[in-house]
Amino acid sequence: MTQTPGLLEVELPPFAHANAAPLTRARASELFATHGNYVWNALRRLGVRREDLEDLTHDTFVTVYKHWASFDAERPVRPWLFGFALRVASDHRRLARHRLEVSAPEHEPHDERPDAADVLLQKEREALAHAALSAIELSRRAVFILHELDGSTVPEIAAALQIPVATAYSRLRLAREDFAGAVKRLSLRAG
Amino acid sequence: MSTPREEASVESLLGSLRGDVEEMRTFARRRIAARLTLSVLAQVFAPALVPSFFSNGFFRSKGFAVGLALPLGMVLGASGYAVLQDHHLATKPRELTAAIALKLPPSVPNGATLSPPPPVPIEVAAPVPAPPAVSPPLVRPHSPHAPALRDTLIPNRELSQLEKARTLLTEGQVTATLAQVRKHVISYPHSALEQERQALYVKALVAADRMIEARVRAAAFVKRFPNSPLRGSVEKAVAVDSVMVR
Repeated sequence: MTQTPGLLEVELPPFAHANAAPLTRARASELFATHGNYVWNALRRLGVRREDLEDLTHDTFVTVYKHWASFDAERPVRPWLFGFALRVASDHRRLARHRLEVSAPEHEPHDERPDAADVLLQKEREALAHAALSAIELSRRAVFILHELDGSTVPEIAAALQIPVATAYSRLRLAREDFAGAVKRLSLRAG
Repeated sequence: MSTPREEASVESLLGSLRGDVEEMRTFARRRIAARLTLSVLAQVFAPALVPSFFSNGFFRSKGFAVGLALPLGMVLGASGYAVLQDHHLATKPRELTAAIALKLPPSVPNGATLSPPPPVPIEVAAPVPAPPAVSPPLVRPHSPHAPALRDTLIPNRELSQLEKARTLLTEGQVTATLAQVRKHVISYPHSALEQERQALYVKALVAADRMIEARVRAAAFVKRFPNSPLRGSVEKAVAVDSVMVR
């Protein structure tokens, strides 16, 4: 591809610590292209509102780029990325309580398809699952998501979240209990 | 199809969550990519080159973003988001006509395609001493109103004993696995890892071809822990005469 010199050509210094592998343009682009969706969904599962997902996905990657030099290449990248998403979501939660922004409820048009009832039931099931997930406290939810939904092992989770392995196991266990309890409560309430 | 009003299986709801993966919309992806470019510039260059409001979060404001779009569009043009040369987003290659071209260390060919990039091992340019670790900070309690939460820590020894049993099973040492699990029961009769221990024991019995006993224990597991996330794997282990790793 022919690249025409633009109005402003600048030399980008290494976006990392000295003596560390620099984050190249290609690597930064590839990181977002490959894992942007994953971070987006991680933030969703951590309870970030839809209208804030774009901002927080951006913030997460900015933080990831800043800390790129600390990444251990021998470890899987997604749990590491999840750690940053968790911090961003956690900080956002602290601030979100002070906001007065109220988003309009989504309008669902009437569905005329013959399988509309099945689709509706599936949506209700997903809503129940998400409600039960939201009932889990954030730090436990993080371990739960990484293990039960993303398939990471507990040692990987512990390394990514910088917590002891025993703590990770403990949080996973408690999260499972919280999830099961929430499912039961919500099912009874709905029934 | 069961309704949510019926008692929902935890495992089936987990399956529902696993399948609920949303795809970022194209416009959202492009906007984020463009903002990442500007954020990088704001972090790296002198404020004189880039207005400070790019770095202080003001850019986040939706109202400002809309107001900024017009003058920004004159500078960056339609290729603004392609500054990162994210060919994954563009429909076909474009020339940078009026854009900020980032000249980085030539470690990657200019023509390198980025779409759709599979996960690749992270490349390190040269062997370097490990920098001080800057890890994502631990999650602190995020709300002063939340009840004080205390994790019940599982002692390392209790954990490592069960991990040893798991490793033995993976290596095919079935008899040793069963012995290790029995030892764990004696050492920690009221273990917090009861479910994991029981599930492991069932799988070890299957591996030992002790199917009748495995099925009895699996049934007891399901009765005792009906909502356990391990229920699915326990039921699956005894459903067929699958022989575990020997």
